[in-house]
Amino acid sequence: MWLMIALSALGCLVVLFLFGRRNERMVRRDWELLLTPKGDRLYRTIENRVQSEMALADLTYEEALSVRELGSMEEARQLIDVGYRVIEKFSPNMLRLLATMATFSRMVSAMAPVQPLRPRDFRIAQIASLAYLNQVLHQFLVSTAERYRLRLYILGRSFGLATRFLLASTRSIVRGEPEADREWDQIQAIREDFRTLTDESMRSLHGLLTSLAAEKRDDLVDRL
Amino acid sequence: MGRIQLAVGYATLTLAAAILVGLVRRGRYRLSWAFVAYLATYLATSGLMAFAPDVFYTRQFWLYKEAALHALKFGIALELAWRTFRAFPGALSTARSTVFVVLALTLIGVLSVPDSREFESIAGGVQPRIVNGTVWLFTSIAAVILWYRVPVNPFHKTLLIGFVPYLLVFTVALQLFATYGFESLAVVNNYAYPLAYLVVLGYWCVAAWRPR
Repeated sequence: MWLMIALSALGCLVVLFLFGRRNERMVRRDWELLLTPKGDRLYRTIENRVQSEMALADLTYEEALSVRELGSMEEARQLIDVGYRVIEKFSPNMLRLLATMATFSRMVSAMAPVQPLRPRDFRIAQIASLAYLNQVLHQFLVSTAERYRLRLYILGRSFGLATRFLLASTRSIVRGEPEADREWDQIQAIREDFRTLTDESMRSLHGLLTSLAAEKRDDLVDRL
Repeated sequence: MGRIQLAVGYATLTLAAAILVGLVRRGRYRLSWAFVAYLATYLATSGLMAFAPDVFYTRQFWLYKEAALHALKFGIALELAWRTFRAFPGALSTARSTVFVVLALTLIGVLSVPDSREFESIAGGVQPRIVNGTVWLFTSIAAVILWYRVPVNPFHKTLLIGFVPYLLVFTVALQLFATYGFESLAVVNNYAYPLAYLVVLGYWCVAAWRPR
């Protein structure tokens, strides 16, 4: 009995600490965003911002490639470095967005069905492996909500991997290392995978919005 | 009863009454009918023990009082869960399963105590299991709220946060009594957990009187 009391005390105090720390105003604000047209507009804004940041990165890398073909290696390296800085800011934002989507997905009583990522859509072998893993684990999960969160988790890990590979390739090119030519091809592959990951993330966001739209919101809004 | 014990007893009665008045004054009594019933029962039974000790300050009456208050605590937890989750079908389903498991485990714990009408057996054997079950009930409801990010009424949050630590202290006090005997731990049973209750009543009193 003493052991049970000790375990109870430990478990309960941890939960209580987390519960007490929760900012109720923020929770209510999140729910109000979700359940009103304001939330819809907010997420469209997010979508536009994400697409703009990806377009900026693409522009920088395209410019770097053009300049490299013209023979200005120094300028090409600088542009590659700038392109990496854009992705360096972009990637954490995507990870935060994916984490937020995972949290909100718990609030939905019925999630729209999702498809797992397709390995053939990715050029980087490690990211394709993660997509394979997604396909395998997808079969073991029963609820659409679990499958949705698995997809988000795989997307998050993939973004992390792609960012690390991009950093390694960028450093190699900027330092003028011997294998730099191969790194240019690697960067092309990583960019394509970033585009795919972003598109899949936006597809997941649309899935969340669709599921929220299907919720009976009136009584939830009244409760708030 | 010692003077300090008496003073703590009167203080808890005063606070409980103040909470009831505050709930009515601020209109919060509608937020938890079970809590209102709990306070009223506590006032009635503890009042009888305080003001007519010759008749009511007995082990038997204390057992009846605690049984009623335990039942009402379960009622508070279940009402809180129903009010919080009723608009969230997914969370409600999980909460329902969790509550069922906790109640079932508590019942098994209680039934595992050897059948006895002795005060020590009930107070030291059955009661800690019921109180521990109540702790887990409140905690599991809090965990489901956290997991689903369900908005919770501030007063309900106050009830949850207040009950759990107090009930843990109460469980420890009862278990100490079961292990070492009631008389040998008079300090704990007569002062420690009533003081813990005084603190939690003070916390609820502030919440009950807070302007809306």
